[in-house]
Amino acid sequence: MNARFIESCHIPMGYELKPETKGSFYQSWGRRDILPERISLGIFAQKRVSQKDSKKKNEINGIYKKTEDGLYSSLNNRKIHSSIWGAEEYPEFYGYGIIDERYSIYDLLILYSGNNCSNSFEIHLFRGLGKPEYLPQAFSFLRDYLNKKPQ
Amino acid sequence: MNLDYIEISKFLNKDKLCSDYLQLNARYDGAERYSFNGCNKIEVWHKEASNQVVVKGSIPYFINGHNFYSSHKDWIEGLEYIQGCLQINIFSGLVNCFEFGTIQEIPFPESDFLRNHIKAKGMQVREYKKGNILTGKEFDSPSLKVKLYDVQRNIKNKLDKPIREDLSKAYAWDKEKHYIKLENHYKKPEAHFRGNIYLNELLSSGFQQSLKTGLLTSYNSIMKTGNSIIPCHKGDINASTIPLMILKELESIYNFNTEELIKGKLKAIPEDVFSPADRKARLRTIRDNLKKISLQGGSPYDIKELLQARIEASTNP
Repeated sequence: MNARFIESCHIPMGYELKPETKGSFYQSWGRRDILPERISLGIFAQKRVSQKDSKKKNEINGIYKKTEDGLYSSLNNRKIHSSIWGAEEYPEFYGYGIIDERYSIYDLLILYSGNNCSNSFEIHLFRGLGKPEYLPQAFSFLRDYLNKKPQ
Repeated sequence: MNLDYIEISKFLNKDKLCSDYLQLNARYDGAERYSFNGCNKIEVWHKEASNQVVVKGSIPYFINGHNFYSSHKDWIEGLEYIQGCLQINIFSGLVNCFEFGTIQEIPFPESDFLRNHIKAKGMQVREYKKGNILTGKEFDSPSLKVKLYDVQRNIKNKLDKPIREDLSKAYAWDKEKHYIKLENHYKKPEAHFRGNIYLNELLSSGFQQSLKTGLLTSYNSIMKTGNSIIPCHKGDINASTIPLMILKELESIYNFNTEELIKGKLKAIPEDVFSPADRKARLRTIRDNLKKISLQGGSPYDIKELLQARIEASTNP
């Protein structure tokens, strides 16, 4: 799969922490018709003691407001959810998740942050690329993309 | 040599089409038309009554953004992505029509090349022009259309600069050179191959090989001109030698004899216009001119050897 095709599936968005909150982030840039404007970052459910869950870094959750319309607003009662997993071979990224396997949708989210998600993060959505065989290509593309991006 | 445009249909029976990745473009009576974004869009139709999905478009354009070259791997990747998003087994889909062709560099201008490809037996010829310049020719029959066109013009006009730069780096495309596209458009594969063709079958190596051979056969069936030897001296080419050269080249294609046709025309001119002496004098001049013209075996515009070499290279890379 070449970079041009991956680029056509790529939707970048930026989120910033709402002051005086612990994990409530609001969209600051990028397309507004994809994810909810507000997303929370944090693990609120009790973590199970399993090998899989030990690799889980975080969770993102969000609900589309009544006035909002997005890519996933018809699913799961207007809620989005994804576990965020670490990617050892791509340590510059905070982690990745998939929206939403429960509905047979495989959209890959890669989270990038210059401050370990304490103030802001970028969500890089790759439509249809949330399957294991596509992950290395999406990560490599994003690595090049961010390296080329003016800082 | 690769597949290009394709139309695949698939009956879903009790399954549902996943339209999460599709944009609805239009609703018709009993059908919906969607577009599916990649580097370039493809069309997806859903026919409600029969619960049938039809995927139409160029997979190379969808996955690569151009059709200069696409590998078998590109095709598989593109189709797997489509089937993953639509949640259908596209490989068992029926192929309604498809194109298989190649881009070939040629050592002469594209319009000269096209002008010297005249007709194919049992096929209707259609020419495409931009202003006065010939840009393409189609040789059409009920189940197969053979297309020859100036692909250099398409690359320069249709593709963005970054893609053109990629073509230069990856495939040595050169904007100063000449390229044509030769393509077999199978309008009715079931009639041409005497049976339904499914996508998995189409992608098999045996079938791909037969498509390569078919492309060469189609090209060889096109009759070419340009086989007259141009005299070396200016004095041997006067104003009436040139139309005679063209007529001599067309003789074998249209089965006529130039000299006989000219004699017939001279006889048809009334005696009060041309006396017998006038006719003799004209005929003598024409014969002298015809003597200056000689034909060589094949047309210099025939690229079958280049195509043959390309088939061999793609078979044994």
